[in-house]
Order: sequence, then C-alpha cells, then structure tokens
Amino acid sequence: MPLNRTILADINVDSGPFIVLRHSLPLNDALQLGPLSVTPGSGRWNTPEGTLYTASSQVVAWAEFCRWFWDDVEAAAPSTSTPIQPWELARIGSQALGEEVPVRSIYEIRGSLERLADLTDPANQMYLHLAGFPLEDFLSNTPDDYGLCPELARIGEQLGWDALRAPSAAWPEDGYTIAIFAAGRLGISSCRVVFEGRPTVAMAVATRYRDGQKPGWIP
Amino acid sequence: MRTPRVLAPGEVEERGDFETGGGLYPPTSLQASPESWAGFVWATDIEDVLGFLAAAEQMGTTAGSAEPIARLLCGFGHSPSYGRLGAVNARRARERLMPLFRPFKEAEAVQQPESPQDIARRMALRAPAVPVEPFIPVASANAARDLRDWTQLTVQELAAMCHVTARRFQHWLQGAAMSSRREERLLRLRYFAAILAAAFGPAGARRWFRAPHPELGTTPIEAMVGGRDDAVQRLVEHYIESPAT
Repeated sequence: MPLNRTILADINVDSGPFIVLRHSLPLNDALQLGPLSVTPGSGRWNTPEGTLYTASSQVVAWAEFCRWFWDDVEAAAPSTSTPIQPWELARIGSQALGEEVPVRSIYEIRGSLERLADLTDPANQMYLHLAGFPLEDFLSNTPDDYGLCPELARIGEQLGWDALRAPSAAWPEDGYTIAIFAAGRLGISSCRVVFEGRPTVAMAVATRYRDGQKPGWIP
Repeated sequence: MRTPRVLAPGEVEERGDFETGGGLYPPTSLQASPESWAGFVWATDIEDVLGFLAAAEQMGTTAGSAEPIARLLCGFGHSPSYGRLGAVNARRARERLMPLFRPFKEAEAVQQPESPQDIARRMALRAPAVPVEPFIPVASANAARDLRDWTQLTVQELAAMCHVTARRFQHWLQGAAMSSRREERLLRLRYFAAILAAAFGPAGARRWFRAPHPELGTTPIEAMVGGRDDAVQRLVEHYIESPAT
C-alpha cells in the first residue's frame, strides 16, 4: 500500500545549523572526487539525484562503513579464533583492522538546513505510522531491501524536505543518519577532514550487519 | 562495618554480604608469628579497610599488645586467595593497599556479565578508529606511468589489461603516443587505479587486482583481460560510495 502523502505533509520540519560527519574515500585529485559526491539511487534513503549520507557521530560513521564494507571486514579477520573470543577482543579490540579494509577519511560537514524532517521525533513518528510507514523499516536488515524507506525519501523530497534524520541501522541504539537531499546540499557551508584511518576491531564487532553479511569472525 | 574480634586458631569469620569485616589472630595462634598479631579483612572499599585497621590497632592495644598490627592478610571481596601484605602497620596501610585494590576492582568489573558486543561497543565508543596516513594519487601527464605507480603491477600485467604487448606498454611509459581508443582504455584503468590506491595504497591495489574476487569468479586482472571491464568497474566504484544501508 502506498504511503499517504497527505499525512506525510503534516510532518514537522526544523530549521537551523547542523554539524554532521561522513566517511569518504581520501581526497583524490586524480579523480576530481570530493567528499560531497553522491551516487544516484544508492542507499536506504536513495533519491534520483543522489542522497548525501551523513552521521550523527564518528562512531556512527564508522558503523555505516563496516556495514557497507562488510566483505572487506570479513577478509580482515584479526584472530585465528572464529568467532573472536572475549579475551581476544579485550586484548586486540583497540587495534585497527587489517589492510584488507580501505583507509577512509572522516569529514565534518557544517551548514544550515531550512526543512529538516526529524523522523526520530515521537510526534513525527506518529504521522509516519498513520501514513502507513512501518517504523521497523528504519532498521530493516535484508540486503537490498530497505522497505518503504526509499519511497518515504522520494515523497519527502517532493514535499520540500532538505534532509531527514532517522535511526542508523548500523548503530541503532543511539546513532542517527542524516540524509541530505539535493536542495539541502545548497546549505552546506564547510567540509573538512577531521580523521583518516581504519576502524578498530571493536568497532567492527559492535556494528550491526545486514542479514547474512555479518563477518564469520564476529560473534 | 563490623568490629574486629579476636579469632580462635583456624577460625575465619564468615563474610556477610555487602558488609566489611574481618578478624585478628593473637601472637600465639598458628596464623600469626610469635611476635605479632595477624589479621584479615574483607571489604570492597579502601576506606572500610582503613577503618578496620584503625579499630584493629585499637583492639590490639586494648588486648595488651604494645605492638601495632604487624601483619595483615587481606582478602578482597569474593577472592578466594588472600594476598599477603607483609610487614605493614596501620598508618602506612593506605599506600600498600591501594595497588592491591586496583586489580580487585578491575576483576570485579570483568565479572559483570557482558556480551562480546557490549565489550566491543564500550571499546568502540572510546576508540572507533586508528589513524592511518592515506595514499593520495596525484595524476601526471603520463597515464601509463600513473597506472604503474599506483598499482605496482608488472608491465606484463598492465599490458595484458590494456590489450597491448608489453613492448608497447613500455613505449607508453616513455611517453609514446597512442590511439584514442587505447588511450580511453588506459584512462579507464587509471581511474580504477586511483580509487584503489586511495583506498588501499599501491601495494593494496596490486593485491586487489591479483586476488580472485567471488563476484568475478577470477582475478580482476583476468576479468579485464577477458573484457569484463564493466563488472570490474562496479566493484571498484563500490569504494567511492558511502551510503547508509
């Protein structure tokens, strides 16, 4: 059943400054690729012009990284024990994953949004429910099946949302994704590298993976 | 806190839950040396131990001993083995007891039922990543040289992926001209190399090209030689995306 567009139009939107984080390929002059480049139709909140996915904290950005590069994380098994034992985790958890995992830059992106739909707000979640959006779709975990999230993103963008804030499926307890649509990207005022590196073993273990994609060495 | 009491030889005062306590053995007992009193205490807090020591010292004096408590056997919490303090007296106990309490407190923390995910989450919140200096590929006017430098592959391997002989690829390295069709292919390969080198460094890019990939059923080099450029490009471009999934 399609989402009720009329009810979705009642969702409250906020305006104001924002600071978010994003993992990206290290700045690459040879490619002319920047940290704000997007791929149309990619990810949970995909839109035709591409969605800029950002995170509420570095931990959330790295969790999304591990979830996306799950097969590289699988290849970077840090221990001979499968799954890794708690005592090993205590010993090597703060070490970086191996070179099978790509190096990534974390960018801090600042700006201002006119119409941010905070979908973690209880009142807005009530509208989502009434509009026919199952809240469990925020955390749907089947590969390549994001439930009604892409449809909500498409309608939201048509309703004039600059961006939406939703729970992160990779770090669901207290992590948030801020998906910035094309109009919202006009409000970005600065973008700078704040970290370059690889996630720790503990980060890989703590991440929530999609069904069937959890690396075999993670308990 | 319970008041220390004099114990019979071999007697151990039972530990009550969440209560500090202990006992003293007089100099004549088996647990103590002939010259001094001995004692034990269990507690979860250093202040309780010090309170016990002060009370025990007072008790020893009251019981007619001119010596301070000279020896103390300390058991911490649920620990079945008592660590021996050696010759200390109550006034210097704090400095000796503190290091002994630290591992006890850490051990107690470990005793909490924590899942591996809980442990990992706690550690990840403290340090989600480790700094690594990335390789930044900078393009030159010679695409063949960039490709070689960014992948560290052999001329034979690069030539095979470009569908030319090794000799011709060598000429390209020296700046020889090429047809637009071949240049297009070379630039596409350089694009792949730039992404992979930024992600993994040149040595990692070489490893990536040479390792069999499950989605290709072969190595990316073999797939390129076989003309499956689009399939390789899809895998390479995976590394420029950063979606929330």
